[in-house]
Amino acid sequence: MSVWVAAAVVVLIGALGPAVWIGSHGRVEERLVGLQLVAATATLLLVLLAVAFGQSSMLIVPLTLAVMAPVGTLVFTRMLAPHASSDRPVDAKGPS
Amino acid sequence: MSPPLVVTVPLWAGVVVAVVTTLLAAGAAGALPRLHFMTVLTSLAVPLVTLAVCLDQGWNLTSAEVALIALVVAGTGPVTGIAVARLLAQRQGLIPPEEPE
Repeated sequence: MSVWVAAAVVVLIGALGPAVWIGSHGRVEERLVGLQLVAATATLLLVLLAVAFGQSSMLIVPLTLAVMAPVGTLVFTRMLAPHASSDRPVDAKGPS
Repeated sequence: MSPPLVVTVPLWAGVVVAVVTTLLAAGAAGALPRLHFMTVLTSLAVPLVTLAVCLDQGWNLTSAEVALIALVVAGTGPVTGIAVARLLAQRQGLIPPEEPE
C-alpha cells in the first residue's frame, strides 16, 4: 500500500465518516454544515485517490466537486433562510 | 518506493489536521462552532496536502490542477461559511430575516 493510498484510507474513515455523520442528523442548519464538511473531505479524498492511482485525468472530479459544492451550499442557504412576511412587521425574533 | 520526507511530512500533517478537525466538529455542540472547524479544514488541511502533491509530482499540469483545486476550496470555504453563519443567525433570530424580493 503506497503512502497516498494509506492517506486516502485515513481520510475516508477518519474525516469523511464523521462528516457524513454530522450531515445525517440534527437540525437542518447543522446538517448543512455537515454537507460542507463532506464536500471538503470528499474533495481531499478524491485528490489523494487520483494521485495514488497515478491517473491525473481523474482530477477533474474533485475540481468539479470543489466548484459545485459551494454553489449547492449557497442554494440551500437561500432556500432555508427565513423570509419576513409582507403582511406583518419584521420580527427580529424570527418566524414562530 | 516511498516518497521523501519533504513530501510525507506535509501530506500526513494535512491528513491529521483533516481528521482531527472533523472529529472535533463532530464533538462540537451546535452548528456555529462546527463552522470554525470547517474553515480550518479548507484553509489548512487541503493546502498542506496540495503542497505534498506538488512536491511529489513536480511542477507540471497535475500539480497545477491540484493547486487550482486547493485554491477553489480555500477561496470558497470562507464564503460558504459566512453564508451558513448568516443563515444560522437568521434562524436564531439574532438578525432580521430577509425581506421577500
